[in-house]
Amino acid sequence: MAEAKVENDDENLLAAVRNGSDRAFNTLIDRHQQAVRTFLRGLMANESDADDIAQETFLAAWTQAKSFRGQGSVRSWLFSIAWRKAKGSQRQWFRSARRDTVYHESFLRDKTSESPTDAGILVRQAMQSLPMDQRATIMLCLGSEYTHVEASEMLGIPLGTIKSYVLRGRQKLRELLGDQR
Amino acid sequence: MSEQQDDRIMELLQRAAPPARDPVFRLRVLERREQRQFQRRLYIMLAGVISIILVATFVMSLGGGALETSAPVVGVAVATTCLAFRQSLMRILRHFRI
Repeated sequence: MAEAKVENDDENLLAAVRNGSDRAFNTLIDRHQQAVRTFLRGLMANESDADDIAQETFLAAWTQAKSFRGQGSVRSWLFSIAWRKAKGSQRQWFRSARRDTVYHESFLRDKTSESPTDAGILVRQAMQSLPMDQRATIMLCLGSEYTHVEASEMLGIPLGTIKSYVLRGRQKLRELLGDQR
Repeated sequence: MSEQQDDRIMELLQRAAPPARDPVFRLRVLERREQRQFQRRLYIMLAGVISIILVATFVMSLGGGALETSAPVVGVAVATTCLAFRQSLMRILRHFRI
């Protein structure tokens, strides 16, 4: 019931954004920035790229507010935009990936030598070794409690592929955590 | 056991989460929106200026370069363009405090 109210509020909020309300836009950002940025930080190699795409996501929400059809929640719609933006920047990401990989490897090496049992770093490392589609699926289904169907709709990936990504991702992460014990 | 592991995975994946309230992020989005809107207005204005120049050149060529013949038509063209792009023009003038 309470969730439905929030959803309803979100739709009202987006209607106000559509009419050009700055206040509504500010509220929309405040309400969803954390979820969108967390999702993108799971996808991208570094936080600054993720935040850059998150900013572009909210700009797109401002200009494309009319394109929201009311299918699914506003947050799912924002995730879809964020996903498309992240995919679009993939080419650019590949160019900088090498630099980031070098940076991350040295960062992880330093961190690992300090604290070899830090599961957070190991999970991040494991995530970076996965393809982008799988990372997005894991962030939605294992990191945010979205169902397989919702993730499939948001990412535009077939349901069977989503299920397989989640299964393999969960297995990999559980093994990683299991090894830690 | 497996549920506990799933909870742990979720907690670890959420570890990179930014703060729930981040006014700096919001300001950056708003700043970027302002920049885009300004760029858009500038492009519209530029398109307007180019159309004036094109119309003026065309009219001048029709009038054989005579100022008396072409001036009124150029004037009308400029006025029409300014009228069509008046909102963008006002915003740009305001931006530069003119």
